[in-house]
Amino acid sequence: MHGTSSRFSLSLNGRASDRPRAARRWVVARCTALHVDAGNVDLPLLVSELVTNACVHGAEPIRVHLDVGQARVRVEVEDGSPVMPEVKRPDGRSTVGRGLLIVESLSRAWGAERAGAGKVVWAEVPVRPGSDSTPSGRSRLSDLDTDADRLRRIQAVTDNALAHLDVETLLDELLLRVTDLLEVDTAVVLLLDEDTNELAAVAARGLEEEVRQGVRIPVGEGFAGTIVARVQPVVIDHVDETNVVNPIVRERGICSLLGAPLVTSGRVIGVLHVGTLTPRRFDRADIELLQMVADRVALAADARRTNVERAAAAALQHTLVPARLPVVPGLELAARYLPGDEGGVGGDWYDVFRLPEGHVGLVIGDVVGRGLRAAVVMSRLRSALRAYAIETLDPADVLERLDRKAQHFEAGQMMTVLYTVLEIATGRMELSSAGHLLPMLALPEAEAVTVDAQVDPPLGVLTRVKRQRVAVDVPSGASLCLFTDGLVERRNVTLDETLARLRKVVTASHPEVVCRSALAALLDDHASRDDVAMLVARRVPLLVSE
Amino acid sequence: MDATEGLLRLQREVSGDGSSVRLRLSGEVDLSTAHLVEDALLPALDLRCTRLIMDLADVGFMDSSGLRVLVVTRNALDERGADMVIVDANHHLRRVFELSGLSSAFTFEP
Repeated sequence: MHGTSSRFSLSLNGRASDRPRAARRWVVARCTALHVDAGNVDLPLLVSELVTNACVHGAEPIRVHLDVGQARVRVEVEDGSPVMPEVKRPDGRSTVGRGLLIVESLSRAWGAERAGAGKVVWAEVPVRPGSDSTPSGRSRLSDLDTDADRLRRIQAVTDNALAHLDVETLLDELLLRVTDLLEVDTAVVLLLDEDTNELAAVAARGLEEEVRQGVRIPVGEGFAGTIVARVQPVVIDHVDETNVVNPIVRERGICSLLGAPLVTSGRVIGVLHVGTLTPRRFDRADIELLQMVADRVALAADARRTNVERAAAAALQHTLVPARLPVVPGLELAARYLPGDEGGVGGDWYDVFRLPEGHVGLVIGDVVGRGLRAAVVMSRLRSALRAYAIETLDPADVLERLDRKAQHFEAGQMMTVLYTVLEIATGRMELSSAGHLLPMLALPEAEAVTVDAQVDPPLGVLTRVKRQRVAVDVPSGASLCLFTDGLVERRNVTLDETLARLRKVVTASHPEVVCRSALAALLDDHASRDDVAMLVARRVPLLVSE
Repeated sequence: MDATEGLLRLQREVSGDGSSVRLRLSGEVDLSTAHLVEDALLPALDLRCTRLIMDLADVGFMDSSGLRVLVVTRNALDERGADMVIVDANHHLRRVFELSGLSSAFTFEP
C-alpha cells in the first residue's frame, strides 16, 4: 500500500477563463498538503500553461491529473480534442506558441498522447530534495502511536490547512488522511440520493473505479446499505458475497471493511468506509476514529451537495433563462439565447447596460467559431465594449475602439457586432453595425421594418475602418428587435424569405411575446441550426413621480 | 460584478497630451484577467502615445496569456518607434520572461 507516488484528479468545469487559476490553486493545495516543494512559481506556471492551452485550443471535457512522486511531480491535462499541440519556435515578436515553450523550458520531460477521443498533454518537474519532501508524510505517521496524536492531527488538518480548499479537494484530502491514519488501502464516500433511495460513490481513494463507474447501492442492502439503514458503524472482518453487494469491492480483493454513517442535522446523508487488502480486525479505537472523520466528511459532503445543486441550477438557468436583464425605467426588455444543435456554447451574445445621462446601450454580436475559444473571445469582447461604452456615447466610436483592440489582440478572429445607444426620454437612438444584421423596428399597429443603415465591415478584418453611425427615432410604444444570423439563416431558404417571416411576428407587443413568437415562427422546422441570440426592447412611457 | 476583476487591479495614468501612458498592475495575470489588461492598454495603442510604462511590481503571477498582451502591445509600439518599458518586475516574473525567451525582447528597469 505504501506506493511511491500519489495520484489525484480534478475535473474542470465552469467558466473557461477561470479554469487555469482553479487548476493552479488545486495543484498548490495538493502539494502543500503532501509537503512537496516544487518551486514557488514553476509548478503553478506549468499547470497554468497546460490548462490554458486546453481551454483555448482543446475541447470539453477537461481534466487535470497530478502524480506526486519521490523525485518529481507529473501534471497531465486531458481534453476532448484529438488535435495535438503544435510546438512552435516563437521569436520575440510572435504572439502565439509561447505557452508550450514555457512548458518545454520548465519541465524535465513533456509530451502529448492520444487518449480516448481526445488527448493528454503531460509534463514533469523535479521536486526539490529536502527533509520534508516525502510524498505523503506517511513515514512520519507511523511514529504517532497514541490516538490523541491522531485526533490532534486530523483536527489540525480539517480545521486549518483545509479551511481554504474547495469542497471537492477537501473530500479528497480527508480520504487521503483517513487512509494514512487508519493504515488502510481504500476509502470511499457514498452519498444518499433521496429520490431513488440509493447510495452513489462521489469520492474514493484506492477504489476510484467505484466513482468512475457510478456504482449505486440500494439502502438496506449489503454493507453500505446496512450502515445507512442502522445509522451506526459496521465492521466486516471477512468480505464475501453474503455481506457485500458491490462487485468492485470484491473484485479489488478487499478482505476487511469498516464503515460509518455520515450524519448532519440528524439526517443520514451517506457512508464513509475504509478497507484493507489484507485481513484486519478493526478495533474500538479505529471505529471511533473513523466516526470522527465521518462527521467532518459529512459537513464537507453537505456543503458539496448544496454547491452541486446551486451550480446545476445556475447552468440550467443560463441555458433556459438568459442572464437577468437590468431594470431600465422607460424600457421593457426580453432576450433569448439558444445553443446550437452541435452542442456547447457558440459565440453569439447580447448585452444591455445603462449609460450616463439617461442612455442605455443595447448590443448583439457573433464571434465566428464555437466552443471554449469562441466563448473566451466573446467574454473579452463584451468586457471591452462595456469599458469603451462608458467613455463615449457615439456607437461608431465605440466600435472603432473595439476594432482597434481586436486587430491587435484577437488577430485572425472575425466577429460581427451591432451596437445601439438609446436616449430613453426622447427615443433618439444611434446605431452602428460591424458586419451585423440590422435590427427590426416595429411601431404600434404597423408591420416591422428593417432599420435603414449602412453595414460596415466586421471587426478584426480591416485596419482603420471609418465607421458610420445612423440616428433612428424609436417612438413611445415601438419595439426594437436585435438578432443573430442563427435566427434567420436556413439551408434551402433565402434570407429574404426568413426575414419576411420574422417581420410578421416582430410587433409592438411586449418583448417577451415578441421573443416567443419569433422563436416559434422561425425555429419550428427542427432543421439543424447554429446558435441563436435575440434581444427585444420596447419603449414605454416613463412614469414621473409627483 | 465580474468575479475575476477582484484578482487584478489596474491603475492607469495618461498624460494630458496622450503621449505617455503608465499602467500599474497588481494581482494575477492569466486567461481570466489578461483581457482587462488589453482593455486598459487602449490609450497606448493610440497614435499619440510615444511611451508606455508597465509597472509590474505587484504582479504575483503571470503566464503566457499575460506575455501575449505585452508582446502584442510592444509590437504595435515598435511599428511607430514608440518606447515600452517594464519596471519593477520581481525575480519570479523575470523568470517567466526568461523561460519564454523574451528577456531580451523587452526593456526592463531597473
